[in-house]
Amino acid sequence: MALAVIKGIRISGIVSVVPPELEDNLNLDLLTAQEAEAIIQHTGIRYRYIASAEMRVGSLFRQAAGDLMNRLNWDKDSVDVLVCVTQSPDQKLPSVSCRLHGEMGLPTSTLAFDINSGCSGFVYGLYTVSALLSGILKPGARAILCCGDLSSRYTEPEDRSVRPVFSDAVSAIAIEKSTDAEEITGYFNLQTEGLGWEAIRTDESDRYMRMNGIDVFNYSMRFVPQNVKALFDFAQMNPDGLDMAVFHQANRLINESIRKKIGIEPEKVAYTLYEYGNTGSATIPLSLGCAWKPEMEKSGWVLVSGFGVGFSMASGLIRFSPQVCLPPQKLLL
Amino acid sequence: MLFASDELQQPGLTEQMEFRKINTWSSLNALLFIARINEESEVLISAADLASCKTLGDIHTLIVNRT
Repeated sequence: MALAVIKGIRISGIVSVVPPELEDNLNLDLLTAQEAEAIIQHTGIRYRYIASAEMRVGSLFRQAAGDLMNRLNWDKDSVDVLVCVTQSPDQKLPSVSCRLHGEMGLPTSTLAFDINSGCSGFVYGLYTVSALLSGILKPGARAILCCGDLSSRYTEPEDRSVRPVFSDAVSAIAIEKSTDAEEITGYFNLQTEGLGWEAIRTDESDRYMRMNGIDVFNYSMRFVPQNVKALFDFAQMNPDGLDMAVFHQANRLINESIRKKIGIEPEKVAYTLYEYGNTGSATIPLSLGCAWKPEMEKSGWVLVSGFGVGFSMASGLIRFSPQVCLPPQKLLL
Repeated sequence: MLFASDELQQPGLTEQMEFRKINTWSSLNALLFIARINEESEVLISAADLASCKTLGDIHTLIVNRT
């Protein structure tokens, strides 16, 4: 079990971007009205954002990261780390992060690479970037973490399990070293159950994503509550001490089942499923942007928990007091 | 408990009944059914488990054996 502590690293801001085009599950041709209503009721998902064919995940990352840096007054030359978490890269070579690095005009001193991760990707990315920053001696070292997918690229139009669930979005997260290098700012529990790789996967015979909903539910119930409970034990905290809990937005049935097993009050749990659907590795930062308000800050601790494709699960208890934390903006065309 | 999901509540359901022949059976209702079983009994039934069952009684036996 990869339990870890991060010291002296904080999230300074979050900006998310969605494509302009919206799809309404009530208007899907492949569902009857009754089926659509049942899906909305039980998944919690009504609206989903869909990228057009010419849009690139890198373009959405660029807008999100650029706007975030402007709002924080971060100079390009101050960025030491650029990491992109995605499973829908625009091309196989080079990495999304290298092309984005060039498009943003970042300095050659910036390290840049991609992480191939989906539903747990934000937490994996946050831990990876935090660990990287910890090793950089420069005071106030800075990173931009980009998370998100254009899942519609892998969605078969006639797939009644996949299409009503997945949505396109990205988030950019600004992360930097704080002045107190010894303050614990994050506890993490990162795990994998690779035997669950078939539960969500792309089919080798075509490019489409296949999802076995029952197996995703089973893996989620078997591993996620235990993952979070072990994290609470490790950090010597409990759900009462949280300002907020944000789970990967899989669907309402899975998320509520997990919440009940852990024993977190519903009032503390953020949901954005109805408005944005399942946006892969962007769901947690996107939901933080929608739900977190400065006046909610009491303990300063927020639970983030991602789980899914892999089967991969990662949770973090993080100090969260950002300068910028916004609901998603539309991609500028 | 077996028929707790609203969409599956029908009069006359028996253990001999082949669940795939219930007219409201669907992939969504199968998931709701599995979720309700887990909520009530902590038993997890996989897609492969479900594929090996034919009747509601088969599922009931699975639950009893794992409880």
